[in-house]
Amino acid sequence: MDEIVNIAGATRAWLFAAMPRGRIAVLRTAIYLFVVLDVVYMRAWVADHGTVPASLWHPLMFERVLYLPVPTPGFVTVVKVMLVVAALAAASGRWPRFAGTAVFLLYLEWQFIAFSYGKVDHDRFALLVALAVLPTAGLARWGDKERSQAAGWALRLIMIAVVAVYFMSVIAKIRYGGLDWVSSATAMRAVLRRGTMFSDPFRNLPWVFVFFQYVTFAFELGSPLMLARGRIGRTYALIALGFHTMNLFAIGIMFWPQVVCLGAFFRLERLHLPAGLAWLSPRARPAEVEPARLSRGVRAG
Amino acid sequence: MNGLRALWRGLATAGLLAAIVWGSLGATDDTFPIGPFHQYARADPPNGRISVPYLQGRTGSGPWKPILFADLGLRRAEIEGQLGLLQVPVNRLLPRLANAYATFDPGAEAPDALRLMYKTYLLQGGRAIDIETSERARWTRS
Repeated sequence: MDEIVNIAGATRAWLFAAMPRGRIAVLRTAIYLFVVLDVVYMRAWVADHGTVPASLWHPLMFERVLYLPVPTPGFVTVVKVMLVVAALAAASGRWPRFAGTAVFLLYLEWQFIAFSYGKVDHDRFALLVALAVLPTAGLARWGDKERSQAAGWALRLIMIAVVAVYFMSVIAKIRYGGLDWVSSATAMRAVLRRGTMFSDPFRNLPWVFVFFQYVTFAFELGSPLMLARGRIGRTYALIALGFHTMNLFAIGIMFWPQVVCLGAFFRLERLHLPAGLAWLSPRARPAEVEPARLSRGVRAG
Repeated sequence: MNGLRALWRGLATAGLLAAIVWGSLGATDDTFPIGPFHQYARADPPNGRISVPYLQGRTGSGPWKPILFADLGLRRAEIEGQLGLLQVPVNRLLPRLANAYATFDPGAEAPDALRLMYKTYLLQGGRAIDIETSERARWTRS
Protein backbone atom coordinates (compact mmCIF):
# COMPACT_ATOMS: atom_id res chain seq x y z
CA MET A 1 0.00 0.00 0.00
CA ASP A 2 2.82 2.35 0.92
CA GLU A 3 4.46 1.66 -2.44
CA ILE A 4 1.26 2.60 -4.28
CA VAL A 5 1.01 5.84 -2.29
CA ASN A 6 4.66 6.58 -3.02
CA ILE A 7 4.23 5.95 -6.76
CA ALA A 8 1.11 8.13 -6.86
CA GLY A 9 2.95 10.88 -4.98
CA ALA A 10 6.00 10.70 -7.25
CA THR A 11 3.78 10.74 -10.36
CA ARG A 12 1.92 13.77 -9.06
CA ALA A 13 5.17 15.53 -8.20
CA TRP A 14 6.55 14.81 -11.68
CA LEU A 15 3.37 15.88 -13.45
CA PHE A 16 2.99 19.14 -11.54
CA ALA A 17 6.66 20.05 -11.18
CA ALA A 18 7.08 23.80 -11.57
CA MET A 19 8.90 24.72 -14.80
CA PRO A 20 9.99 28.05 -16.28
CA ARG A 21 7.37 30.20 -17.94
CA GLY A 22 10.03 31.36 -20.39
CA ARG A 23 10.02 27.92 -22.01
CA ILE A 24 6.28 28.18 -22.57
CA ALA A 25 6.73 31.64 -24.12
CA VAL A 26 9.33 30.47 -26.65
CA LEU A 27 7.41 27.30 -27.41
CA ARG A 28 4.23 29.30 -28.00
CA THR A 29 5.99 31.57 -30.45
CA ALA A 30 7.53 28.61 -32.29
CA ILE A 31 4.39 26.48 -32.36
CA TYR A 32 1.94 29.19 -33.37
CA LEU A 33 4.28 30.53 -36.06
CA PHE A 34 4.73 26.96 -37.27
CA VAL A 35 0.94 26.68 -37.58
CA VAL A 36 0.93 29.75 -39.84
CA LEU A 37 3.78 28.36 -41.94
CA ASP A 38 2.14 24.95 -42.13
CA VAL A 39 -1.20 26.33 -43.29
CA VAL A 40 0.01 28.85 -45.88
CA TYR A 41 3.15 27.14 -47.20
CA MET A 42 4.26 23.69 -46.01
CA ARG A 43 0.87 22.04 -46.42
CA ALA A 44 -0.82 24.49 -48.71
CA TRP A 45 -2.38 21.48 -50.47
CA VAL A 46 -4.94 21.16 -47.66
CA ALA A 47 -6.75 24.19 -49.08
CA ASP A 48 -7.03 22.37 -52.44
CA HIS A 49 -9.44 19.93 -50.80
CA GLY A 50 -12.03 22.69 -50.94
CA THR A 51 -12.28 22.14 -54.70
CA VAL A 52 -12.44 18.34 -54.53
CA PRO A 53 -15.96 16.95 -55.24
CA ALA A 54 -17.91 15.77 -52.20
CA SER A 55 -18.03 12.27 -53.71
CA LEU A 56 -14.37 11.85 -52.68
CA TRP A 57 -14.96 13.16 -49.15
CA HIS A 58 -15.03 10.48 -46.44
CA PRO A 59 -15.72 12.28 -43.15
CA LEU A 60 -13.92 10.95 -40.11
CA MET A 61 -15.81 9.84 -37.00
CA PHE A 62 -15.65 13.20 -35.20
CA GLU A 63 -16.76 15.01 -38.35
CA ARG A 64 -19.78 12.74 -38.59
CA VAL A 65 -20.62 13.07 -34.89
CA LEU A 66 -20.25 16.87 -34.93
CA TYR A 67 -21.96 17.29 -38.33
CA LEU A 68 -19.01 19.23 -39.70
CA PRO A 69 -19.67 20.48 -43.24
CA VAL A 70 -18.24 19.24 -46.52
CA PRO A 71 -15.18 21.39 -47.32
CA THR A 72 -15.94 23.92 -50.05
CA PRO A 73 -13.64 26.66 -51.39
CA GLY A 74 -15.48 29.29 -49.31
CA PHE A 75 -15.49 27.26 -46.10
CA VAL A 76 -11.82 26.32 -46.44
CA THR A 77 -10.86 29.96 -47.03
CA VAL A 78 -12.79 31.14 -43.96
CA VAL A 79 -11.15 28.50 -41.75
CA LYS A 80 -7.72 29.32 -43.18
CA VAL A 81 -8.01 33.09 -42.65
CA MET A 82 -9.40 32.73 -39.12
CA LEU A 83 -6.69 30.20 -38.26
CA VAL A 84 -3.85 32.41 -39.50
CA VAL A 85 -5.21 35.47 -37.66
CA ALA A 86 -5.70 33.51 -34.43
CA ALA A 87 -2.26 31.89 -34.68
CA LEU A 88 -0.53 35.24 -35.21
CA ALA A 89 -2.38 36.66 -32.19
CA ALA A 90 -1.43 33.62 -30.11
CA ALA A 91 2.20 33.76 -31.29
CA SER A 92 2.45 37.23 -29.75
CA GLY A 93 1.82 35.58 -26.37
CA ARG A 94 -1.18 37.80 -25.68
CA TRP A 95 -4.71 36.49 -25.05
CA PRO A 96 -3.24 32.99 -24.55
CA ARG A 97 -6.52 31.39 -23.53
CA PHE A 98 -8.81 32.95 -26.13
CA ALA A 99 -6.44 32.99 -29.11
CA GLY A 100 -4.86 29.66 -28.14
CA THR A 101 -8.20 27.89 -27.81
CA ALA A 102 -9.31 29.32 -31.16
CA VAL A 103 -6.12 28.03 -32.80
CA PHE A 104 -6.64 24.56 -31.31
CA LEU A 105 -10.22 24.26 -32.56
CA LEU A 106 -9.51 25.75 -35.99
CA TYR A 107 -6.35 23.68 -36.50
CA LEU A 108 -8.25 20.54 -35.54
CA GLU A 109 -10.86 21.37 -38.19
CA TRP A 110 -8.00 22.05 -40.64
CA GLN A 111 -6.72 18.54 -39.99
CA PHE A 112 -10.18 17.09 -40.58
CA ILE A 113 -10.23 18.89 -43.94
CA ALA A 114 -6.77 17.46 -44.67
CA PHE A 115 -7.41 13.86 -43.70
CA SER A 116 -10.92 13.12 -44.96
CA TYR A 117 -9.90 12.04 -48.45
CA GLY A 118 -8.28 8.69 -47.79
CA LYS A 119 -5.05 9.40 -45.90
CA VAL A 120 -4.45 10.26 -42.24
CA ASP A 121 -0.97 11.41 -41.26
CA HIS A 122 0.36 10.54 -37.83
CA ASP A 123 2.77 13.38 -37.16
CA ARG A 124 0.12 15.83 -35.85
CA PHE A 125 -0.69 14.21 -32.50
CA ALA A 126 1.88 15.96 -30.28
CA LEU A 127 1.18 19.30 -31.94
CA LEU A 128 -2.56 18.96 -31.30
CA VAL A 129 -1.88 18.11 -27.66
CA ALA A 130 0.44 21.14 -27.45
CA LEU A 131 -2.24 23.40 -28.95
CA ALA A 132 -4.76 22.01 -26.43
CA VAL A 133 -2.62 22.63 -23.34
CA LEU A 134 -0.71 25.82 -24.18
CA PRO A 135 -3.78 28.01 -23.48
CA THR A 136 -3.80 26.72 -19.89
CA ALA A 137 -0.29 27.93 -19.01
CA GLY A 138 -1.14 31.61 -18.46
CA LEU A 139 0.83 34.63 -19.64
CA ALA A 140 4.51 33.97 -20.27
CA ARG A 141 7.41 36.13 -21.38
CA TRP A 142 10.60 35.18 -23.23
CA GLY A 143 13.50 34.74 -20.84
CA ASP A 144 11.20 34.46 -17.79
CA LYS A 145 12.94 32.12 -15.31
CA GLU A 146 10.00 32.18 -12.89
CA ARG A 147 8.60 28.68 -12.53
CA SER A 148 4.95 27.75 -12.39
CA GLN A 149 3.08 24.51 -12.03
CA ALA A 150 0.69 25.49 -14.83
CA ALA A 151 3.66 25.83 -17.19
CA GLY A 152 5.12 22.58 -15.89
CA TRP A 153 1.93 20.60 -16.45
CA ALA A 154 1.53 21.92 -20.00
CA LEU A 155 5.16 21.03 -20.81
CA ARG A 156 4.77 17.57 -19.27
CA LEU A 157 1.75 16.79 -21.42
CA ILE A 158 3.57 17.89 -24.57
CA MET A 159 6.49 15.64 -23.55
CA ILE A 160 4.17 12.70 -22.93
CA ALA A 161 2.56 13.19 -26.34
CA VAL A 162 5.93 13.40 -28.11
CA VAL A 163 7.19 10.22 -26.46
CA ALA A 164 3.86 8.46 -27.11
CA VAL A 165 4.18 9.06 -30.84
CA TYR A 166 7.55 7.28 -30.87
CA PHE A 167 6.76 4.53 -28.40
CA MET A 168 3.33 3.72 -29.75
CA SER A 169 4.82 3.54 -33.25
CA VAL A 170 6.53 0.37 -32.04
CA ILE A 171 3.18 -0.96 -30.87
CA ALA A 172 1.70 -0.12 -34.29
CA LYS A 173 4.57 -1.91 -36.04
CA ILE A 174 3.88 -5.03 -33.98
CA ARG A 175 0.11 -4.69 -34.51
CA TYR A 176 0.27 -4.17 -38.29
CA GLY A 177 3.58 -5.67 -39.34
CA GLY A 178 4.46 -8.15 -36.59
CA LEU A 179 7.97 -8.71 -35.33
CA ASP A 180 9.02 -9.44 -38.94
CA TRP A 181 8.84 -5.69 -39.50
CA VAL A 182 12.49 -5.22 -38.57
CA SER A 183 13.68 -7.53 -41.34
CA SER A 184 11.05 -6.52 -43.92
CA ALA A 185 11.43 -4.38 -47.04
CA THR A 186 9.43 -1.49 -45.60
CA ALA A 187 12.25 1.08 -45.70
CA MET A 188 13.18 -0.14 -49.19
CA ARG A 189 9.55 0.43 -50.19
CA ALA A 190 9.71 4.00 -48.85
CA VAL A 191 12.92 4.66 -50.80
CA LEU A 192 11.59 3.10 -54.04
CA ARG A 193 8.49 5.28 -53.80
CA ARG A 194 10.10 8.51 -52.67
CA GLY A 195 13.85 8.12 -52.58
CA THR A 196 16.28 11.04 -52.69
CA MET A 197 19.76 11.62 -54.12
CA PHE A 198 21.07 10.50 -50.72
CA SER A 199 19.16 7.20 -50.43
CA ASP A 200 18.81 6.09 -54.07
CA PRO A 201 22.47 4.96 -54.28
CA PHE A 202 21.69 2.36 -51.56
CA ARG A 203 18.89 0.65 -53.51
CA ASN A 204 21.13 -2.32 -54.23
CA LEU A 205 22.15 -2.66 -50.59
CA PRO A 206 18.98 -3.86 -48.83
CA TRP A 207 20.87 -4.68 -45.64
CA VAL A 208 21.41 -0.93 -45.12
CA PHE A 209 17.65 -0.44 -44.88
CA VAL A 210 17.18 -3.47 -42.64
CA PHE A 211 19.86 -2.04 -40.34
CA PHE A 212 18.01 1.29 -40.39
CA GLN A 213 14.83 -0.54 -39.35
CA TYR A 214 16.58 -2.13 -36.37
CA VAL A 215 17.88 1.30 -35.37
CA THR A 216 14.40 2.83 -35.75
CA PHE A 217 12.80 0.06 -33.68
CA ALA A 218 15.40 0.44 -30.91
CA PHE A 219 15.15 4.22 -30.92
CA GLU A 220 11.35 4.17 -30.65
CA LEU A 221 11.40 1.47 -27.98
CA GLY A 222 13.84 3.51 -25.89
CA SER A 223 11.98 6.80 -26.36
CA PRO A 224 10.58 6.94 -22.78
CA LEU A 225 14.17 7.76 -21.77
CA MET A 226 13.40 11.18 -23.18
CA LEU A 227 11.35 11.78 -20.04
CA ALA A 228 14.40 11.26 -17.81
CA ARG A 229 15.58 14.35 -15.98
CA GLY A 230 18.48 16.46 -17.13
CA ARG A 231 21.08 15.50 -19.67
CA ILE A 232 19.78 12.01 -20.45
CA GLY A 233 16.40 13.31 -21.56
CA ARG A 234 17.87 16.17 -23.56
CA THR A 235 20.40 13.89 -25.25
CA TYR A 236 17.65 11.50 -26.30
CA ALA A 237 15.67 14.45 -27.68
CA LEU A 238 18.78 15.41 -29.68
CA ILE A 239 18.96 11.84 -31.00
CA ALA A 240 15.32 12.23 -32.06
CA LEU A 241 16.25 15.35 -34.02
CA GLY A 242 19.01 13.35 -35.72
CA PHE A 243 16.52 10.58 -36.51
CA HIS A 244 14.15 13.05 -38.19
CA THR A 245 17.00 14.64 -40.13
CA MET A 246 18.01 11.21 -41.41
CA ASN A 247 14.44 10.62 -42.59
CA LEU A 248 14.50 13.95 -44.38
CA PHE A 249 17.60 12.99 -46.32
CA ALA A 250 16.40 9.43 -47.01
CA ILE A 251 12.79 9.93 -48.11
CA GLY A 252 12.28 13.70 -48.11
CA ILE A 253 9.87 13.61 -45.17
CA MET A 254 10.39 15.70 -42.05
CA PHE A 255 7.86 15.26 -39.27
CA TRP A 256 7.91 18.98 -38.57
CA PRO A 257 5.10 19.16 -35.97
CA GLN A 258 6.88 16.51 -33.92
CA VAL A 259 10.20 18.32 -34.31
CA VAL A 260 8.73 21.63 -33.13
CA CYS A 261 7.23 19.92 -30.08
CA LEU A 262 10.63 18.44 -29.19
CA GLY A 263 11.41 21.99 -28.07
CA ALA A 264 9.59 21.20 -24.80
CA PHE A 265 12.62 19.10 -23.76
CA PHE A 266 15.17 21.90 -24.12
CA ARG A 267 15.98 24.89 -21.93
CA LEU A 268 14.32 27.41 -24.17
CA GLU A 269 13.91 29.76 -21.19
CA ARG A 270 17.53 30.76 -21.80
CA LEU A 271 16.53 32.44 -25.03
CA HIS A 272 15.82 36.16 -25.04
CA LEU A 273 14.21 38.35 -27.64
CA PRO A 274 16.55 40.97 -29.07
CA ALA A 275 16.27 44.23 -27.08
CA GLY A 276 14.35 45.97 -29.84
CA LEU A 277 11.72 43.23 -29.93
CA ALA A 278 11.26 42.72 -26.18
CA TRP A 279 8.00 44.68 -26.26
CA LEU A 280 6.50 41.85 -28.34
CA SER A 281 6.47 39.50 -25.38
CA PRO A 282 3.83 40.15 -22.71
CA ARG A 283 4.54 40.52 -19.01
CA ALA A 284 2.77 38.18 -16.61
CA ARG A 285 0.20 40.07 -14.57
CA PRO A 286 0.82 39.93 -10.82
CA ALA A 287 -2.47 38.08 -10.34
CA GLU A 288 -1.22 35.26 -12.55
CA VAL A 289 2.01 34.79 -10.64
CA GLU A 290 1.53 31.82 -8.39
CA PRO A 291 2.45 31.95 -4.69
CA ALA A 292 6.18 31.59 -4.14
CA ARG A 293 5.73 28.49 -1.97
CA LEU A 294 4.35 26.67 -5.00
CA SER A 295 6.91 28.03 -7.42
CA ARG A 296 9.66 26.81 -5.15
CA GLY A 297 8.07 23.39 -4.88
CA VAL A 298 9.26 20.50 -6.99
CA ARG A 299 11.52 21.80 -9.75
CA ALA A 300 12.26 20.16 -13.03
CA GLY A 301 14.42 20.99 -16.01
CA MET B 1 -2.02 24.95 -7.55
CA ASN B 2 -5.38 24.56 -5.86
CA GLY B 3 -7.26 21.28 -5.67
CA LEU B 4 -9.76 21.96 -8.46
CA ARG B 5 -7.07 23.00 -10.95
CA ALA B 6 -4.98 19.98 -10.06
CA LEU B 7 -8.05 17.74 -10.34
CA TRP B 8 -9.03 18.75 -13.87
CA ARG B 9 -5.42 18.59 -15.00
CA GLY B 10 -5.10 15.12 -13.49
CA LEU B 11 -8.28 14.01 -15.26
CA ALA B 12 -7.05 15.51 -18.55
CA THR B 13 -3.77 13.63 -18.17
CA ALA B 14 -5.60 10.36 -17.52
CA GLY B 15 -7.77 11.05 -20.57
CA LEU B 16 -4.73 11.64 -22.75
CA LEU B 17 -3.07 8.43 -21.58
CA ALA B 18 -6.29 6.46 -22.16
CA ALA B 19 -6.59 7.96 -25.66
CA ILE B 20 -3.00 7.04 -26.48
CA VAL B 21 -3.40 3.43 -25.32
CA TRP B 22 -6.82 2.86 -26.86
CA GLY B 23 -5.76 4.67 -30.03
CA SER B 24 -2.81 2.36 -30.50
CA LEU B 25 -4.46 -0.91 -29.51
CA GLY B 26 -8.04 -0.63 -30.66
CA ALA B 27 -8.72 2.42 -32.82
CA THR B 28 -8.35 3.09 -36.53
CA ASP B 29 -7.63 6.15 -38.66
CA ASP B 30 -11.36 6.92 -38.59
CA THR B 31 -11.10 8.08 -34.97
CA PHE B 32 -8.41 10.69 -35.71
CA PRO B 33 -6.91 12.52 -33.80
CA ILE B 34 -6.99 9.39 -31.64
CA GLY B 35 -5.56 6.43 -33.49
CA PRO B 36 -2.64 4.13 -34.20
CA PHE B 37 0.65 5.64 -35.40
CA HIS B 38 0.94 3.15 -38.25
CA GLN B 39 2.82 5.14 -40.87
CA TYR B 40 5.39 2.72 -42.34
CA ALA B 41 4.23 0.07 -39.84
CA ARG B 42 3.37 -2.64 -42.36
CA ALA B 43 5.95 -5.30 -43.14
CA ASP B 44 6.62 -5.52 -46.87
CA PRO B 45 7.95 -9.00 -47.74
CA PRO B 46 11.56 -8.91 -49.05
CA ASN B 47 10.44 -11.14 -51.95
CA GLY B 48 7.22 -9.28 -52.68
CA ARG B 49 6.06 -6.50 -54.94
CA ILE B 50 5.92 -2.75 -54.38
CA SER B 51 3.43 -0.85 -56.48
CA VAL B 52 3.23 2.87 -57.14
CA PRO B 53 0.07 4.23 -58.80
CA TYR B 54 0.02 7.03 -61.33
CA LEU B 55 -2.55 8.57 -63.62
CA GLN B 56 -2.62 9.23 -67.34
CA GLY B 57 -5.19 11.09 -69.41
CA ARG B 58 -5.81 11.82 -73.06
CA THR B 59 -8.02 13.97 -75.24
CA GLY B 60 -9.69 12.34 -78.23
CA SER B 61 -7.34 9.76 -79.72
CA GLY B 62 -4.23 11.71 -78.72
CA PRO B 63 -1.33 10.28 -76.77
CA TRP B 64 -1.61 9.39 -73.08
CA LYS B 65 -0.11 12.13 -70.93
CA PRO B 66 0.73 12.06 -67.22
CA ILE B 67 -1.72 13.70 -64.83
CA LEU B 68 -0.39 14.72 -61.46
CA PHE B 69 -2.52 13.88 -58.44
CA ALA B 70 -1.95 17.49 -57.38
CA ASP B 71 -3.89 18.51 -60.52
CA LEU B 72 -6.94 16.91 -58.88
CA GLY B 73 -6.36 18.62 -55.52
CA LEU B 74 -5.32 15.27 -54.04
CA ARG B 75 -2.22 13.29 -53.01
CA ARG B 76 -1.07 9.91 -54.28
CA ALA B 77 -1.55 8.37 -50.83
CA GLU B 78 -5.16 9.56 -50.81
CA ILE B 79 -5.91 7.69 -54.03
CA GLU B 80 -4.32 4.59 -52.49
CA GLY B 81 -6.41 5.13 -49.36
CA GLN B 82 -9.64 5.45 -51.35
CA LEU B 83 -8.92 2.17 -53.13
CA GLY B 84 -7.47 0.34 -50.13
CA LEU B 85 -8.71 1.35 -46.70
CA LEU B 86 -11.95 2.97 -47.90
CA GLN B 87 -12.59 0.20 -50.46
CA VAL B 88 -13.96 2.48 -53.17
CA PRO B 89 -14.33 0.37 -56.37
CA VAL B 90 -11.91 1.61 -59.01
CA ASN B 91 -14.64 1.92 -61.65
CA ARG B 92 -16.42 4.37 -59.36
CA LEU B 93 -13.26 6.20 -58.39
CA LEU B 94 -12.04 7.10 -61.88
CA PRO B 95 -15.08 9.20 -62.92
CA ARG B 96 -14.82 10.99 -59.56
CA LEU B 97 -11.17 11.75 -60.30
CA ALA B 98 -12.13 13.07 -63.74
CA ASN B 99 -14.68 15.28 -62.02
CA ALA B 100 -12.03 16.45 -59.54
CA TYR B 101 -9.72 17.38 -62.43
CA ALA B 102 -12.48 19.50 -63.97
CA THR B 103 -13.38 21.30 -60.73
CA PHE B 104 -9.78 21.90 -59.63
CA ASP B 105 -8.99 23.99 -62.71
CA PRO B 106 -12.19 24.73 -64.66
CA GLY B 107 -10.15 26.48 -67.38
CA ALA B 108 -8.01 23.44 -68.16
CA GLU B 109 -8.88 21.08 -71.01
CA ALA B 110 -10.53 18.07 -69.37
CA PRO B 111 -9.33 14.65 -70.58
CA ASP B 112 -11.79 12.41 -72.41
CA ALA B 113 -10.20 9.33 -70.95
CA LEU B 114 -8.34 8.52 -67.78
CA ARG B 115 -6.40 5.45 -66.81
CA LEU B 116 -4.92 4.33 -63.52
CA MET B 117 -1.50 2.79 -64.01
CA TYR B 118 0.84 0.96 -61.65
CA LYS B 119 4.60 0.86 -61.68
CA THR B 120 5.53 -2.33 -59.81
CA TYR B 121 8.95 -3.22 -58.44
CA LEU B 122 9.61 -6.94 -58.09
CA LEU B 123 11.77 -7.63 -55.04
CA GLN B 124 14.14 -10.48 -54.39
CA GLY B 125 16.02 -10.56 -51.11
CA GLY B 126 14.88 -6.99 -50.49
CA ARG B 127 16.41 -5.75 -53.73
CA ALA B 128 14.38 -4.55 -56.74
CA ILE B 129 15.27 -6.84 -59.64
CA ASP B 130 12.65 -5.83 -62.19
CA ILE B 131 10.01 -3.21 -62.92
CA GLU B 132 6.61 -3.77 -64.55
CA THR B 133 4.00 -1.27 -65.62
CA SER B 134 0.35 -2.24 -65.88
CA GLU B 135 -3.04 -0.66 -66.40
CA ARG B 136 -5.42 -1.19 -63.49
CA ALA B 137 -8.52 0.52 -64.86
CA ARG B 138 -9.69 2.93 -67.54
CA TRP B 139 -12.52 5.46 -67.74
CA THR B 140 -13.82 7.04 -70.95
CA ARG B 141 -16.25 9.95 -71.08
CA SER B 142 -19.56 8.67 -72.46
